[in-house]
Amino acid sequence: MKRNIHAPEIIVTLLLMLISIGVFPYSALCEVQEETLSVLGSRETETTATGRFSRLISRTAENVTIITATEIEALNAHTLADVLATVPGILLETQTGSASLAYLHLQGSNSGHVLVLLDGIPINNLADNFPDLGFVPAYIIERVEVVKGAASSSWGQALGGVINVITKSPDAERTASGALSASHGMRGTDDAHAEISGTSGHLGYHLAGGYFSSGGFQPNTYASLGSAYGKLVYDLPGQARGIFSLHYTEANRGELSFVPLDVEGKDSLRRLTLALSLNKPLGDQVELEISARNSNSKVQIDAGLISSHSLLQTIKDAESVRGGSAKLLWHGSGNVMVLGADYDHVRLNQNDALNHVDILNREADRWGFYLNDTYTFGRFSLSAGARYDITGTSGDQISPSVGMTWQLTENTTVRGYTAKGYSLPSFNLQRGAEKVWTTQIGVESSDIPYLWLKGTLFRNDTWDITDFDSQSGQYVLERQIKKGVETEARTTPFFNTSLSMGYTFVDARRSADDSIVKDLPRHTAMLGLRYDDGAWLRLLVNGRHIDMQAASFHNGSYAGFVWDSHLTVTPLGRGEQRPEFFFSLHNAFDRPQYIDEAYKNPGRWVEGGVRCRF
Amino acid sequence: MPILRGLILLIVALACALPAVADAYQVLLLISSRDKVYQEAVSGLRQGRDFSDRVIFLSDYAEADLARTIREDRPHLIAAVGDRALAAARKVRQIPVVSLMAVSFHRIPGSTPNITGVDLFIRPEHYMNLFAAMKLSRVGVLYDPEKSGYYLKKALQQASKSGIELLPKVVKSSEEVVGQLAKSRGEMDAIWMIPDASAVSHQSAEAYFLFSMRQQVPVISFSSSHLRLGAAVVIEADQEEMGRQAGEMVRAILQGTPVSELPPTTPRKIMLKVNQRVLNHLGIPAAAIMRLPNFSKE
Repeated sequence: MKRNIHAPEIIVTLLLMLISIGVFPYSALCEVQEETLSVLGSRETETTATGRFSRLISRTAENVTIITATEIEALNAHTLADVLATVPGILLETQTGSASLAYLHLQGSNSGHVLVLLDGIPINNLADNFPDLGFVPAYIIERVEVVKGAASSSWGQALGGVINVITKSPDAERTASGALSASHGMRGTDDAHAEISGTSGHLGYHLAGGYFSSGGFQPNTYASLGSAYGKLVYDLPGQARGIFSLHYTEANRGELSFVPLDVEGKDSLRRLTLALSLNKPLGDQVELEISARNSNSKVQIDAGLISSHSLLQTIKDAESVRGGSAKLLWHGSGNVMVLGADYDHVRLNQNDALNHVDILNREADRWGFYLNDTYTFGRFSLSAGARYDITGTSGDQISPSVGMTWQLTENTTVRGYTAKGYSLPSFNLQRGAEKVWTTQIGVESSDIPYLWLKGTLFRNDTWDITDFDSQSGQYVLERQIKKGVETEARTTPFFNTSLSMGYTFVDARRSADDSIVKDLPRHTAMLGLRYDDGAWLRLLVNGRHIDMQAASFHNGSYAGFVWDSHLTVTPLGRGEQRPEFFFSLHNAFDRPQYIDEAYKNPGRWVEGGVRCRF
Repeated sequence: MPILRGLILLIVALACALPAVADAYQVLLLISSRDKVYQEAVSGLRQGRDFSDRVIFLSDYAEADLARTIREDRPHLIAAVGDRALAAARKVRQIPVVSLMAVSFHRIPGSTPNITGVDLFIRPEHYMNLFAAMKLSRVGVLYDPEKSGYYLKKALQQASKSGIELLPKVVKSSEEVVGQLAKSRGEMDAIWMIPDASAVSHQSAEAYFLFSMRQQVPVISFSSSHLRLGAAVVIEADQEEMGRQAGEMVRAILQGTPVSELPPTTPRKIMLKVNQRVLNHLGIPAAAIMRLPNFSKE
């Protein structure tokens, strides 16, 4: 698939425009701190919506990590994959750079076990239940919330966890504001995007578009990603609010060229997602939300021979998901309860384009009904939830969960959580769901001066897990126990500098013979340094080491740390009307870090750019 | 797809048909969060319940559209409880705002004539009288000029009248507290904690009491939560009474009194609390402290 759009012209034009204009007004996102609670010995912490309603993090029993827009910007991220690569406990195999296919590992689970949501709408495909993280541009993201461990009692199929991506909303305070950003890097890696946002009368809008392209960092690897995003918010009578959103993305990617096997692969994707929702308060304590969604995607995967450039196989997938949700939220004193239902009609047509044969033409109706509740009393909170799913393809599933938090001191929270979860197999397989019982106990504390610490012990007892038996050449169902520990630490800033570390250990074994499950990360270590003088300079340095336990025939290589650094310079200071120049050095020491020699990680490369808000 | 069509139809029908059910009310009670710290003040504010109100907890919403609520509900005034609530209410220019339990209240510029309320800071003369009764002459105080510079100015004026030497130490964040205290060893015979978020936070509070223990100097604070940590004496505002004060302002505005005639005020009922064990340990007699007038004592 040839790239048919060339971005450099657009980027150069944008850069020239920016330089000629000079400076831009800058709308600082002013986070108001609750100083009163801080000085009076209480504390207000971040909230998360990972359980289908907003809760204080300190009252959330699940193991949750939040990445904010500010952090995303500091990373100079291009796609969701770039953002998640920095989260302790998550391992991404990003093959050819930012927009390429990225395989996800989370507490011993793989990509198909993790539900990735864009504003509550799943992006996992039907064909493989695979979430394409390189397909979500970073510029549309306001915030990412990650739940590590089964979250099926809220979201349905989410055996390994949920990654909830919340997109940007209209600027409620101005009629027009926006941002422009452009960057250029090695191997023709260019990214340009523009956003405009505002509210006029009853109507709020956020419109954005962008284009990313890269010549790729391995032979026959390239990526182009064009995207458009829009969100309209309209205030209706009686405090009701209607929200319409549109997200269109198209990508062309060369994913593979492996000479020893004389094979190359590429794909092209198109996806359009439309969503309409209505929020309506029914009094001070009750809120109703109803939404409808329609998502259509087309994917073409070509596999061929390098030597002759002849095609071996062309598979075309056409997927559609149409559905809706309704939920009733009740905010009582110390109690939050949500009752809801989801419905989707899903359809997949898979076609062998070379032989003009339909491989699969399948559709199903999927229903889910859930009830989640969090009750807070004194220093404790108790969460309980249950969900009943009619999957249409893999039987009916019941997913209960129960969790508790204990505010041990003002700065220390202990969490416990146990839940049953499931994930759906590939849509073209007549197979039951894969299942898990997860149990997690964790503690988060800033009681030790200058330190923030978080630790979690987890045990994921999984069964009906599909694995390929190389001896019999067949897929088999296995029981696998994944036990481990996840730790994170951060220091408070000292001379504008703070340090961070994360370490995750996963011991994944087959129950049948206690053998280690290969190709899953066993040790993952992350180190970070952040310098921010609050005015001119911000520097992030991140390093990660992964012991992947790859099977020997993959010829993987993953010794040492891969170091990335991101520098942001604001020569005119931060605040209104200030351009930001950013530079990134990726894989500074050119280290290999891959499971399979056919999919090598990018070596050292650099990029730089400028962004401005107005 | 019939179900999807039905759902979209339902959304559109609900959007059109659901009436604006919210009853008219007089006061929009905007509260930063459900934290229990605010409960007493809110209880005082609503005592008597002789006005109608609607309560919005900002922490329940990712972003509460206050401008729209004002436009559609047309309340007579906003009672803002907490800093986030005050920051949101400040953007509303057309109706009066009564602030309560916001440490940032005194930083509101004079150019916002629709805002009044009850300050969280207690008048400095109360502390000066206490320092005099404790026979303290050199009292250190950590503060951020941007957050409590105005209060320190008043305190310094009051201190010079009372013959007390205040030793202000500037901190710009709670991380600087430990270092600033370390530099102040031997300089002071007491340390005064004021409600300044750069100087006092969950993280930094302990540093004051460690300093107190090692230097054998008393800590005088504004919050009784510090007593159990090791504060010697606390002068604290009665939060329910502050709520009542704000409630009186609310009623006056509802009865037609212009905001300009209701200047910002300081807490009316203040309480003196001592940690007898710490006072004994430091050899400070409690009798003179307990004889101080103008306090409710515990």
